[in-house]
Amino acid sequence: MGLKCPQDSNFLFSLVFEYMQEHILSKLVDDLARFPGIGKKTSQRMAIHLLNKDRKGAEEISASIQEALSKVRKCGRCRALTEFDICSICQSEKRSKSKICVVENLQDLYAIEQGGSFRGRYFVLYGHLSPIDGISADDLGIDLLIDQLSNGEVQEIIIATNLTVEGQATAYFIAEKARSLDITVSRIAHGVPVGGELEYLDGNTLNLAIETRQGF
Amino acid sequence: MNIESKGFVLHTRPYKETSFLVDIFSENHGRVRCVAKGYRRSTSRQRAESLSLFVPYNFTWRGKNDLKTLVNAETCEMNLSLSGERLFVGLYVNELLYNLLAIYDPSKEIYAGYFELVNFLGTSARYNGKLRCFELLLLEYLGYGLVLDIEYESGNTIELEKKYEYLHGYGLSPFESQSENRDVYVGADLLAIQDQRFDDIHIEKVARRLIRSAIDYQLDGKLLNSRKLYQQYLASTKSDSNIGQC
Repeated sequence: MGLKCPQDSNFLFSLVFEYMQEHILSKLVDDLARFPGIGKKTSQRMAIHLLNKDRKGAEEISASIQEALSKVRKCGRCRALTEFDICSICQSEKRSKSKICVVENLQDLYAIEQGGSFRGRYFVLYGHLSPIDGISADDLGIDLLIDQLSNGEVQEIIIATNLTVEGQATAYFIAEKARSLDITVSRIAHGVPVGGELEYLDGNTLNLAIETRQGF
Repeated sequence: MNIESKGFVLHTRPYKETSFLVDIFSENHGRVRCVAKGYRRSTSRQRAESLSLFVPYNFTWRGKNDLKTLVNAETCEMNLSLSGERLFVGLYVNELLYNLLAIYDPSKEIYAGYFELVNFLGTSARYNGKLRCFELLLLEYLGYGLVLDIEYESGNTIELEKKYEYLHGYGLSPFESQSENRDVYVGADLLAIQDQRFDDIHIEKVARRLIRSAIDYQLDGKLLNSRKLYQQYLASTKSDSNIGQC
């Protein structure tokens, strides 16, 4: 495309420049919309805020993401995210090595930690068994869990997967593997929440609460 | 316009922030795909009636497109929770229906069979015969019912002592010794399968082999993950792995 006239060339340059600007900005808006709970409108506000009012903050966020991406990985023992080979919970001497709590997601681990009553170690599956979605035992790192159960340190495994059918299937699957290694298997209790009123509970939860009642 | 039907949830999958994509197996409309808006929100009103597998619901949905909007789901009967081995069998049956049933193709017979099977799995450990009957019913509904009393080419009736092979899409053919790597069935076993005499462990085992190959033919090369999962589960239990395989 031979552009001989300098005026034409300038015009074209300004068009490309405009396009480039829009492209970078719109890509940033699209990228920010990847976050859970963030739609296009919010991501647009975020982009404008970062570029207009908090450019230093934007640089810090960018550097943090870069650093986290290069340094944070899964713990070699429990699969929680960590910047070390083995995470701080697994390394802690104050925690019991004889108990492992199995959770579906990292958020579940943080929730139990916030409760503060469990002082053992964890194992994060990042999902549950789901044949229709093609999620198998290999995808959940169950082999790694079984390896840890075989080393003789662990005496009890607490299965804290969700109380969905898939969560239950995952629990049964892990429980049988653990029992074959002569390890005590327990499942977190399910039923009436603390402060809950029976009147507002659904039938399934109430049935379960009655079936799994405890001596008092 | 709202549509109401009894049904079961075959599968749920997270959709956007707070919703589910739900595959429903309904009594009056067959498989239906719905968006269950807000069902994943912890404070949701609907959360109290969470969508669970193997539980009969009264569903209400609406919508003109293929993807409907779930309006309401109420459990209509006592919840029978499946446990252990039977839970994995339930997942197998769900994957079977998910892969083989077309959307919006109602069949009251299959629904009744599924309802009976789920109830049976919830109460009895000896589910093998019921599972085989359901698989045969499903194959028949799909138009590939097994014809086990006559040869497909000649129309001759099956002889008790004679050996046969099953050619999927056609039927039974006398077994010729030249053909290799073929599944071979004895006439007496085939007639027993036709009569659904699955109390006999040998007949049930032969039926499992025959039905499995017929289902694999229907799946056209697709592997059932639930079958593998079930076998992995059985391998770690102390129960006899020959009993009750999918």
